[in-house]
Amino acid sequence: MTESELIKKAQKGVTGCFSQLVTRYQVRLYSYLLARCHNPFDADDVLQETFINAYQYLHSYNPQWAFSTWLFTIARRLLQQLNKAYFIPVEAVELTTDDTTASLDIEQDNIWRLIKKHVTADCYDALWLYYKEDQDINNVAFILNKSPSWVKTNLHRSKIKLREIFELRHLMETL
Amino acid sequence: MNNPLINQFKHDGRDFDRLAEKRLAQGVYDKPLWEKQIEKSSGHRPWLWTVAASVIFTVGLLYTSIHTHQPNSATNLQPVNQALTIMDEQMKIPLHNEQQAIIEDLKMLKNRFLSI
Repeated sequence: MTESELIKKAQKGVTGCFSQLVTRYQVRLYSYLLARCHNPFDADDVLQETFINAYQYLHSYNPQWAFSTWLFTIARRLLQQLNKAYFIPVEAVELTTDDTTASLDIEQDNIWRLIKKHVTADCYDALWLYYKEDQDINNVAFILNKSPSWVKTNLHRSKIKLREIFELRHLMETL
Repeated sequence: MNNPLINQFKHDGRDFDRLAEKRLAQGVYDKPLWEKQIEKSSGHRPWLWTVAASVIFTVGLLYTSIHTHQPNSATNLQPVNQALTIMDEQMKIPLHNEQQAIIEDLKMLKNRFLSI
């Protein structure tokens, strides 16, 4: 069954079809939330809430956007509402002090853990959605509720900043 | 220059995918919870329907009982109407007398004025 057929049936109240949609997207969504949240329990909560919200508001889903885009939009809005995973201005924060992903078999030098210290939440999401999720600029802009030009500019700026940081880090290691 | 960074984004992102898969497989995240919550929210409906039905039944019963006990002929209202008419007349008599007295006074004043 295609995704649009599953969505139409789920909109008519077929719970089994919605379960199939959940199965299709839960890993991608959970992966993002695990990277984004400061602890896995928040990720669990937001994931649950995302699917509950998606089910409740399925009638308002606009097929103009991909279903994954819509799910990421819900998840991100829930993150904002719960105010759990928003980053504190970064330079001052030691990630390892409150980041429990250390206990989750994610290496300390994993780039998604490292860059939390150096970019804002919006830029982090833009990087994840564009490079990890392969969403296009318009979809990323829709999820972040920003303009496409904002996304392009901030992706570019984040890359330059991160490249400089990692080059400096590499230089420090070689010395 | 950007390629190594972008490749690392993709590569390291897969670590989180594996972690997500692992946690989902281990049942750390209780997958059916959202289903339970949806069932729970939709489970209110039969209860609400029962309440709605009982309210409608009670209102219907009250309406029927009031309707059957309501006086249905004009003859039943006759004593009430008569009493109301008497009350009305009794209230009007003093006013009528007062009006007549004023008219008499005015007539008397007019005659006096004309006789001057």
